[in-house]
Amino acid sequence: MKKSIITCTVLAVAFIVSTSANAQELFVYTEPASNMPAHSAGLRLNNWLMKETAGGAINYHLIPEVMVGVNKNLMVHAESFLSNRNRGFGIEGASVYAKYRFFSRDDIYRHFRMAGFARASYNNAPVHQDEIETNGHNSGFELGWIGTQLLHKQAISTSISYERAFKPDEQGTEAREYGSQHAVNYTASMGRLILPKSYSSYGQTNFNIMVELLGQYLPEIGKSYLDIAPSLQFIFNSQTRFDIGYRHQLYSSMSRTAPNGFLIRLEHVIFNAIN
Amino acid sequence: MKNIFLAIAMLISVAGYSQIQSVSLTASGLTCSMCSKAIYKALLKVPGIKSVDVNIEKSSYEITFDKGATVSPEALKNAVEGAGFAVAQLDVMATLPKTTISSGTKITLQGSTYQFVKANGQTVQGVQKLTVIDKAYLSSAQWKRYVKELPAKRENGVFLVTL
Repeated sequence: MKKSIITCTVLAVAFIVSTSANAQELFVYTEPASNMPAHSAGLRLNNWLMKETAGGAINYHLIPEVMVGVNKNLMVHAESFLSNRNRGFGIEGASVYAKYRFFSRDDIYRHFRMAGFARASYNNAPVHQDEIETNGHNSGFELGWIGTQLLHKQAISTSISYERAFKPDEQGTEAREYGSQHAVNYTASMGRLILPKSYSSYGQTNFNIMVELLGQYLPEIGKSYLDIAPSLQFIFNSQTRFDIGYRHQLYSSMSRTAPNGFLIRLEHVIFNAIN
Repeated sequence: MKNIFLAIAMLISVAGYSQIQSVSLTASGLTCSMCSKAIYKALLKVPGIKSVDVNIEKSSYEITFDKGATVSPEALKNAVEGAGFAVAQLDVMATLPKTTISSGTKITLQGSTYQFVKANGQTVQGVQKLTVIDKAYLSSAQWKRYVKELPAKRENGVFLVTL
Protein backbone atom coordinates (compact mmCIF):
# COMPACT_ATOMS: atom_id res chain seq x y z
CA MET A 1 0.00 0.00 0.00
CA LYS A 2 2.77 2.40 1.05
CA LYS A 3 4.82 1.55 -2.04
CA SER A 4 1.90 2.24 -4.40
CA ILE A 5 1.19 5.63 -2.79
CA ILE A 6 4.81 6.64 -3.22
CA THR A 7 4.83 5.40 -6.83
CA CYS A 8 1.67 7.36 -7.63
CA THR A 9 3.09 10.46 -6.02
CA VAL A 10 6.36 10.26 -7.95
CA LEU A 11 4.45 9.74 -11.22
CA ALA A 12 2.14 12.70 -10.48
CA VAL A 13 5.09 14.93 -9.71
CA ALA A 14 6.90 13.78 -12.86
CA PHE A 15 3.77 14.55 -14.88
CA ILE A 16 3.51 18.05 -13.49
CA VAL A 17 7.20 18.73 -14.10
CA SER A 18 7.14 17.37 -17.65
CA THR A 19 4.06 19.29 -18.76
CA SER A 20 4.91 22.36 -16.79
CA ALA A 21 4.92 25.73 -18.50
CA ASN A 22 5.42 29.16 -16.96
CA ALA A 23 5.82 27.57 -13.57
CA GLN A 24 6.15 29.74 -10.51
CA GLU A 25 8.65 29.51 -7.69
CA LEU A 26 6.55 31.22 -5.01
CA PHE A 27 6.12 27.96 -3.13
CA VAL A 28 3.70 27.59 -0.26
CA TYR A 29 5.39 25.22 2.19
CA THR A 30 8.98 26.20 1.46
CA GLU A 31 10.91 29.35 0.59
CA PRO A 32 12.67 29.56 -2.80
CA ALA A 33 16.28 30.72 -3.02
CA SER A 34 15.07 34.00 -4.55
CA ASN A 35 14.62 37.03 -2.39
CA MET A 36 12.11 39.80 -1.84
CA PRO A 37 12.89 43.03 -3.68
CA ALA A 38 15.18 45.33 -1.71
CA HIS A 39 13.27 47.77 0.52
CA SER A 40 9.99 45.93 0.15
CA ALA A 41 7.89 44.74 3.08
CA GLY A 42 5.30 42.02 3.33
CA LEU A 43 2.69 40.72 5.69
CA ARG A 44 1.55 37.11 5.87
CA LEU A 45 -1.27 35.51 7.81
CA ASN A 46 -0.68 31.78 8.03
CA ASN A 47 -3.63 29.68 9.21
CA TRP A 48 -2.88 26.04 9.89
CA LEU A 49 -5.82 23.68 10.47
CA MET A 50 -4.37 20.31 11.39
CA LYS A 51 -6.38 17.25 12.37
CA GLU A 52 -5.19 15.26 15.39
CA THR A 53 -4.68 11.60 14.55
CA ALA A 54 -5.92 10.61 17.98
CA GLY A 55 -9.42 11.91 18.51
CA GLY A 56 -9.79 14.02 15.37
CA ALA A 57 -9.78 17.46 17.05
CA ILE A 58 -8.67 20.34 14.83
CA ASN A 59 -5.57 22.19 15.97
CA TYR A 60 -5.67 25.78 14.75
CA HIS A 61 -2.37 27.68 14.50
CA LEU A 62 -2.37 31.35 13.56
CA ILE A 63 1.10 32.53 12.58
CA PRO A 64 1.23 36.20 11.54
CA GLU A 65 4.49 37.03 9.79
CA VAL A 66 6.20 40.32 8.88
CA MET A 67 8.80 40.22 6.10
CA VAL A 68 11.37 42.81 5.09
CA GLY A 69 13.68 42.88 2.06
CA VAL A 70 16.82 44.46 3.55
CA ASN A 71 18.80 44.45 0.31
CA LYS A 72 18.76 42.36 -2.86
CA ASN A 73 20.38 39.40 -1.07
CA LEU A 74 19.00 39.51 2.48
CA MET A 75 15.49 39.26 3.86
CA VAL A 76 14.29 38.87 7.42
CA HIS A 77 10.99 37.68 8.87
CA ALA A 78 9.46 37.82 12.33
CA GLU A 79 6.56 35.60 13.34
CA SER A 80 4.44 34.97 16.38
CA PHE A 81 2.82 31.65 17.19
CA LEU A 82 -0.76 31.40 18.40
CA SER A 83 -2.76 28.20 18.71
CA ASN A 84 -5.69 26.52 20.40
CA ARG A 85 -3.79 23.38 21.37
CA ASN A 86 -3.50 24.19 25.05
CA ARG A 87 -5.73 26.16 27.43
CA GLY A 88 -7.95 27.90 24.87
CA PHE A 89 -6.48 30.13 22.16
CA GLY A 90 -3.29 31.91 23.10
CA ILE A 91 0.16 33.06 22.16
CA GLU A 92 2.84 30.39 22.51
CA GLY A 93 5.96 31.95 21.13
CA ALA A 94 7.75 33.79 18.36
CA SER A 95 10.46 33.32 15.78
CA VAL A 96 12.89 35.23 13.60
CA TYR A 97 13.98 34.01 10.18
CA ALA A 98 16.61 35.25 7.75
CA LYS A 99 17.44 34.20 4.21
CA TYR A 100 20.61 35.20 2.39
CA ARG A 101 20.93 34.67 -1.35
CA PHE A 102 24.61 34.02 -1.98
CA PHE A 103 24.54 32.89 -5.59
CA SER A 104 22.47 34.04 -8.54
CA ARG A 105 22.93 33.38 -12.23
CA ASP A 106 20.26 35.01 -14.37
CA ASP A 107 19.45 34.60 -18.03
CA ILE A 108 16.39 35.22 -20.20
CA TYR A 109 13.48 33.34 -18.56
CA ARG A 110 15.88 31.33 -16.41
CA HIS A 111 17.94 31.48 -13.27
CA PHE A 112 19.74 29.34 -10.79
CA ARG A 113 19.95 30.65 -7.25
CA MET A 114 21.21 29.43 -3.95
CA ALA A 115 20.50 30.78 -0.50
CA GLY A 116 21.20 29.98 3.12
CA PHE A 117 18.58 30.41 5.80
CA ALA A 118 18.36 30.44 9.56
CA ARG A 119 15.49 30.43 12.01
CA ALA A 120 15.46 30.86 15.79
CA SER A 121 12.26 30.12 17.70
CA TYR A 122 10.82 30.18 21.16
CA ASN A 123 7.73 28.14 21.98
CA ASN A 124 6.29 27.48 25.45
CA ALA A 125 3.87 24.73 24.43
CA PRO A 126 4.48 21.19 25.73
CA VAL A 127 5.92 18.63 23.33
CA HIS A 128 3.78 15.57 22.59
CA GLN A 129 5.45 14.13 19.53
CA ASP A 130 8.74 12.97 17.98
CA GLU A 131 8.43 15.40 15.04
CA ILE A 132 10.51 18.56 15.35
CA GLU A 133 9.09 21.79 13.96
CA THR A 134 10.60 25.10 15.03
CA ASN A 135 8.00 26.86 12.87
CA GLY A 136 5.19 26.61 15.38
CA HIS A 137 5.90 23.73 17.77
CA ASN A 138 9.39 23.65 19.26
CA SER A 139 11.88 26.09 20.67
CA GLY A 140 15.11 25.76 18.77
CA PHE A 141 16.82 26.77 15.59
CA GLU A 142 17.18 25.66 11.99
CA LEU A 143 20.00 26.21 9.48
CA GLY A 144 19.61 25.32 5.84
CA TRP A 145 20.46 25.62 2.17
CA ILE A 146 18.06 26.21 -0.74
CA GLY A 147 18.69 25.73 -4.45
CA THR A 148 16.11 26.94 -6.99
CA GLN A 149 16.21 26.51 -10.74
CA LEU A 150 13.94 28.38 -13.14
CA LEU A 151 14.49 26.78 -16.54
CA HIS A 152 12.45 27.63 -19.63
CA LYS A 153 9.48 28.59 -17.47
CA GLN A 154 9.68 25.60 -15.17
CA ALA A 155 10.69 26.03 -11.53
CA ILE A 156 12.02 23.42 -9.15
CA SER A 157 13.46 23.98 -5.73
CA THR A 158 15.13 21.83 -3.15
CA SER A 159 16.31 22.46 0.38
CA ILE A 160 18.17 20.64 3.08
CA SER A 161 18.48 21.76 6.67
CA TYR A 162 19.53 20.86 10.17
CA GLU A 163 16.98 21.54 12.90
CA ARG A 164 17.69 21.58 16.61
CA ALA A 165 14.98 21.43 19.24
CA PHE A 166 15.59 22.65 22.75
CA LYS A 167 13.75 20.60 25.34
CA PRO A 168 11.14 22.64 27.12
CA ASP A 169 11.33 22.42 30.90
CA GLU A 170 10.52 19.04 32.36
CA GLN A 171 7.02 20.17 33.36
CA GLY A 172 6.11 20.72 29.73
CA THR A 173 7.72 17.69 28.14
CA GLU A 174 6.89 14.07 28.12
CA ALA A 175 10.66 13.92 28.00
CA ARG A 176 11.00 10.22 28.61
CA GLU A 177 9.12 9.57 25.38
CA TYR A 178 9.70 12.54 23.08
CA GLY A 179 13.23 13.75 23.53
CA SER A 180 14.71 14.06 20.04
CA GLN A 181 16.78 17.18 19.68
CA HIS A 182 18.26 16.86 16.19
CA ALA A 183 16.57 16.59 12.81
CA VAL A 184 17.54 16.68 9.16
CA ASN A 185 14.89 18.10 6.81
CA TYR A 186 14.74 17.75 3.03
CA THR A 187 12.26 19.18 0.56
CA ALA A 188 11.52 19.18 -3.18
CA SER A 189 9.07 21.64 -4.72
CA MET A 190 7.58 22.12 -8.18
CA GLY A 191 5.07 24.63 -9.51
CA ARG A 192 2.99 25.30 -12.62
CA LEU A 193 1.24 28.46 -13.84
CA ILE A 194 -2.27 27.67 -15.07
CA LEU A 195 -3.54 31.22 -15.73
CA PRO A 196 -3.11 33.60 -17.46
CA LYS A 197 -2.13 31.96 -20.75
CA SER A 198 -0.21 35.11 -21.63
CA TYR A 199 0.55 38.23 -19.66
CA SER A 200 -0.96 41.52 -20.74
CA SER A 201 -1.30 43.44 -17.47
CA TYR A 202 -0.38 43.36 -13.79
CA GLY A 203 -4.08 43.31 -13.00
CA GLN A 204 -4.54 39.77 -14.28
CA THR A 205 -5.13 37.12 -11.63
CA ASN A 206 -2.42 34.44 -11.61
CA PHE A 207 -3.43 30.90 -10.73
CA ASN A 208 -0.70 28.42 -9.87
CA ILE A 209 -0.62 24.80 -8.74
CA MET A 210 2.27 23.56 -6.61
CA VAL A 211 3.32 20.16 -5.34
CA GLU A 212 5.89 19.83 -2.59
CA LEU A 213 7.54 16.87 -0.85
CA LEU A 214 8.57 17.50 2.74
CA GLY A 215 10.62 15.04 4.76
CA GLN A 216 12.36 14.77 8.09
CA TYR A 217 14.81 12.29 9.58
CA LEU A 218 15.55 12.02 13.29
CA PRO A 219 19.03 10.47 13.60
CA GLU A 220 18.83 9.85 17.39
CA ILE A 221 15.97 7.39 17.01
CA GLY A 222 16.41 6.52 13.32
CA LYS A 223 12.87 7.56 12.37
CA SER A 224 11.52 9.61 9.49
CA TYR A 225 8.45 10.88 7.67
CA LEU A 226 7.60 12.02 4.17
CA ASP A 227 4.65 14.31 3.38
CA ILE A 228 3.16 15.51 0.14
CA ALA A 229 1.69 19.02 0.04
CA PRO A 230 -0.22 20.10 -3.04
CA SER A 231 -1.48 23.68 -3.11
CA LEU A 232 -3.43 26.21 -5.14
CA GLN A 233 -2.24 29.78 -5.36
CA PHE A 234 -3.94 32.97 -6.54
CA ILE A 235 -2.03 36.17 -7.08
CA PHE A 236 -4.08 39.37 -7.38
CA ASN A 237 -2.76 42.57 -8.93
CA SER A 238 0.75 41.00 -8.88
CA GLN A 239 1.01 41.93 -5.18
CA THR A 240 -1.49 39.99 -3.10
CA ARG A 241 -1.27 36.26 -2.71
CA PHE A 242 -3.80 33.69 -1.48
CA ASP A 243 -2.62 30.11 -0.94
CA ILE A 244 -4.57 26.98 0.01
CA GLY A 245 -2.46 23.93 0.70
CA TYR A 246 -3.16 20.48 2.01
CA ARG A 247 -0.40 18.54 3.70
CA HIS A 248 -0.72 14.78 3.75
CA GLN A 249 1.54 12.22 5.36
CA LEU A 250 2.75 9.61 2.87
CA TYR A 251 4.54 7.57 5.49
CA SER A 252 5.94 8.00 8.97
CA SER A 253 7.75 5.84 11.49
CA MET A 254 7.76 8.59 14.15
CA SER A 255 4.95 9.85 16.33
CA ARG A 256 3.23 12.98 15.08
CA THR A 257 0.22 14.60 16.74
CA ALA A 258 -1.49 16.17 13.74
CA PRO A 259 0.43 15.66 10.47
CA ASN A 260 -2.46 16.19 8.07
CA GLY A 261 -4.38 19.38 7.42
CA PHE A 262 -4.83 22.64 5.57
CA LEU A 263 -2.76 25.77 5.31
CA ILE A 264 -4.64 28.90 4.31
CA ARG A 265 -2.43 31.90 3.78
CA LEU A 266 -2.94 35.51 2.81
CA GLU A 267 0.08 37.61 1.85
CA HIS A 268 0.56 41.18 0.66
CA VAL A 269 3.78 42.80 -0.58
CA ILE A 270 4.45 46.54 -0.48
CA PHE A 271 7.16 47.61 -2.92
CA ASN A 272 9.51 50.46 -1.91
CA ALA A 273 8.15 50.35 1.63
CA ILE A 274 11.45 51.17 3.30
CA ASN A 275 13.99 53.81 2.28
CA MET B 1 46.68 70.36 -31.86
CA LYS B 2 44.08 70.85 -34.57
CA ASN B 3 42.85 67.30 -33.89
CA ILE B 4 42.36 68.04 -30.21
CA PHE B 5 40.28 71.13 -31.04
CA LEU B 6 38.23 69.08 -33.52
CA ALA B 7 37.67 66.36 -30.94
CA ILE B 8 36.58 68.85 -28.29
CA ALA B 9 34.35 70.62 -30.80
CA MET B 10 32.74 67.30 -31.74
CA LEU B 11 32.21 66.38 -28.11
CA ILE B 12 30.63 69.73 -27.27
CA SER B 13 28.52 69.91 -30.42
CA VAL B 14 27.23 66.38 -29.94
CA ALA B 15 26.41 67.10 -26.28
CA GLY B 16 24.60 70.28 -27.26
CA TYR B 17 22.31 68.71 -29.85
CA SER B 18 21.79 65.11 -28.65
CA GLN B 19 18.84 63.91 -26.74
CA ILE B 20 17.86 60.56 -25.30
CA GLN B 21 14.44 59.55 -26.62
CA SER B 22 14.08 56.47 -24.41
CA VAL B 23 15.89 53.50 -22.92
CA SER B 24 14.75 49.99 -23.70
CA LEU B 25 15.72 47.56 -20.94
CA THR B 26 15.24 43.77 -20.95
CA ALA B 27 15.51 42.00 -17.61
CA SER B 28 16.58 38.40 -17.02
CA GLY B 29 15.91 35.78 -14.35
CA LEU B 30 12.13 36.06 -14.20
CA THR B 31 8.90 34.84 -15.73
CA CYS B 32 6.19 35.84 -13.24
CA SER B 33 4.24 39.11 -13.20
CA MET B 34 4.93 39.72 -9.50
CA CYS B 35 8.66 39.74 -10.30
CA SER B 36 8.03 42.00 -13.28
CA LYS B 37 6.07 44.41 -11.08
CA ALA B 38 8.92 44.51 -8.55
CA ILE B 39 11.27 45.70 -11.31
CA TYR B 40 8.66 48.15 -12.61
CA LYS B 41 8.21 49.70 -9.15
CA ALA B 42 11.98 49.91 -8.62
CA LEU B 43 12.49 51.66 -11.98
CA LEU B 44 9.79 54.24 -11.17
CA LYS B 45 11.88 55.26 -8.16
CA VAL B 46 14.93 56.22 -10.26
CA PRO B 47 15.17 60.04 -10.41
CA GLY B 48 14.36 61.67 -13.74
CA ILE B 49 12.11 58.91 -15.07
CA LYS B 50 8.93 60.14 -16.75
CA SER B 51 7.26 56.83 -17.62
CA VAL B 52 7.85 53.07 -17.82
CA ASP B 53 5.95 50.97 -20.35
CA VAL B 54 6.12 47.23 -19.59
CA ASN B 55 5.88 44.16 -21.77
CA ILE B 56 5.49 41.48 -19.11
CA GLU B 57 5.81 38.56 -21.54
CA LYS B 58 9.15 39.83 -22.86
CA SER B 59 10.42 41.17 -19.50
CA SER B 60 11.10 44.45 -21.32
CA TYR B 61 10.70 48.01 -20.10
CA GLU B 62 10.45 51.10 -22.32
CA ILE B 63 11.62 54.04 -20.21
CA THR B 64 11.22 57.76 -21.00
CA PHE B 65 12.81 60.61 -19.08
CA ASP B 66 11.99 64.13 -17.97
CA LYS B 67 13.42 66.76 -20.33
CA GLY B 68 17.08 67.40 -19.56
CA ALA B 69 17.19 64.80 -16.76
CA THR B 70 20.42 62.92 -16.07
CA VAL B 71 20.18 59.46 -17.60
CA SER B 72 22.40 56.82 -16.09
CA PRO B 73 22.34 53.20 -17.31
CA GLU B 74 23.98 52.30 -14.02
CA ALA B 75 21.06 53.70 -11.98
CA LEU B 76 18.65 51.64 -14.09
CA LYS B 77 20.76 48.49 -13.71
CA ASN B 78 20.94 49.01 -9.92
CA ALA B 79 17.15 49.29 -9.77
CA VAL B 80 16.75 45.96 -11.60
CA GLU B 81 19.38 44.27 -9.42
CA GLY B 82 17.84 45.71 -6.25
CA ALA B 83 14.56 44.08 -7.25
CA GLY B 84 16.44 40.76 -7.37
CA PHE B 85 17.13 40.33 -11.11
CA ALA B 86 19.63 41.23 -13.80
CA VAL B 87 19.82 43.23 -17.04
CA ALA B 88 19.90 41.18 -20.26
CA GLN B 89 20.04 44.17 -22.60
CA LEU B 90 19.99 47.95 -22.29
CA ASP B 91 19.54 50.09 -25.40
CA VAL B 92 19.76 53.89 -25.31
CA MET B 93 17.70 55.45 -28.12
CA ALA B 94 19.51 58.72 -28.80
CA THR B 95 19.06 61.46 -31.39
CA LEU B 96 22.50 62.36 -32.75
CA PRO B 97 23.52 65.14 -35.13
CA LYS B 98 25.60 64.05 -38.15
CA THR B 99 28.47 62.16 -36.45
CA THR B 100 31.23 59.84 -37.65
CA ILE B 101 31.48 56.86 -35.34
CA SER B 102 34.71 54.88 -35.07
CA SER B 103 35.86 52.45 -32.39
CA GLY B 104 36.90 54.67 -29.47
CA THR B 105 34.61 57.62 -30.35
CA LYS B 106 33.12 59.10 -27.20
CA ILE B 107 29.90 61.06 -26.77
CA THR B 108 28.21 62.46 -23.71
CA LEU B 109 24.44 62.26 -23.48
CA GLN B 110 22.45 63.71 -20.59
CA GLY B 111 25.09 63.18 -17.92
CA SER B 112 26.69 59.89 -19.04
CA THR B 113 29.62 59.23 -21.35
CA TYR B 114 29.47 56.50 -23.97
CA GLN B 115 32.41 55.03 -25.92
CA PHE B 116 31.82 53.07 -29.12
CA VAL B 117 33.24 49.61 -29.77
CA LYS B 118 33.04 47.57 -32.98
CA ALA B 119 32.35 50.74 -35.06
CA ASN B 120 33.90 51.13 -38.51
CA GLY B 121 33.84 54.85 -39.18
CA GLN B 122 30.25 55.06 -40.41
CA THR B 123 28.49 58.43 -40.40
CA VAL B 124 25.15 58.48 -38.62
CA GLN B 125 22.43 61.04 -38.00
CA GLY B 126 19.08 60.98 -36.23
CA VAL B 127 17.75 58.37 -33.82
CA GLN B 128 20.36 55.67 -33.11
CA LYS B 129 20.22 52.62 -30.87
CA LEU B 130 23.22 52.37 -28.54
CA THR B 131 23.48 48.95 -26.87
CA VAL B 132 25.53 48.89 -23.66
CA ILE B 133 28.32 46.32 -23.81
CA ASP B 134 29.20 45.11 -20.33
CA LYS B 135 28.91 41.83 -18.47
CA ALA B 136 26.31 43.29 -16.14
CA TYR B 137 24.17 44.59 -19.03
CA LEU B 138 24.09 41.50 -21.25
CA SER B 139 22.86 37.91 -21.10
CA SER B 140 25.74 35.45 -20.75
CA ALA B 141 25.32 34.27 -24.36
CA GLN B 142 25.49 37.85 -25.69
CA TRP B 143 28.43 38.75 -23.47
CA LYS B 144 30.50 35.89 -24.92
CA ARG B 145 30.11 37.49 -28.37
CA TYR B 146 31.57 40.82 -27.29
CA VAL B 147 34.10 40.03 -24.58
CA LYS B 148 36.98 39.63 -27.04
CA GLU B 149 36.24 42.93 -28.83
CA LEU B 150 36.65 45.17 -25.82
CA PRO B 151 39.46 47.75 -25.56
CA ALA B 152 42.36 46.78 -23.31
CA LYS B 153 42.02 49.91 -21.17
CA ARG B 154 38.62 50.85 -19.77
CA GLU B 155 37.83 54.17 -18.13
CA ASN B 156 35.76 54.27 -15.00
CA GLY B 157 32.26 55.61 -15.45
CA VAL B 158 32.28 55.32 -19.26
CA PHE B 159 29.73 53.00 -20.85
CA LEU B 160 30.93 50.94 -23.78
CA VAL B 161 28.27 50.82 -26.51
CA THR B 162 27.75 49.49 -29.99
CA LEU B 163 25.38 50.67 -32.72
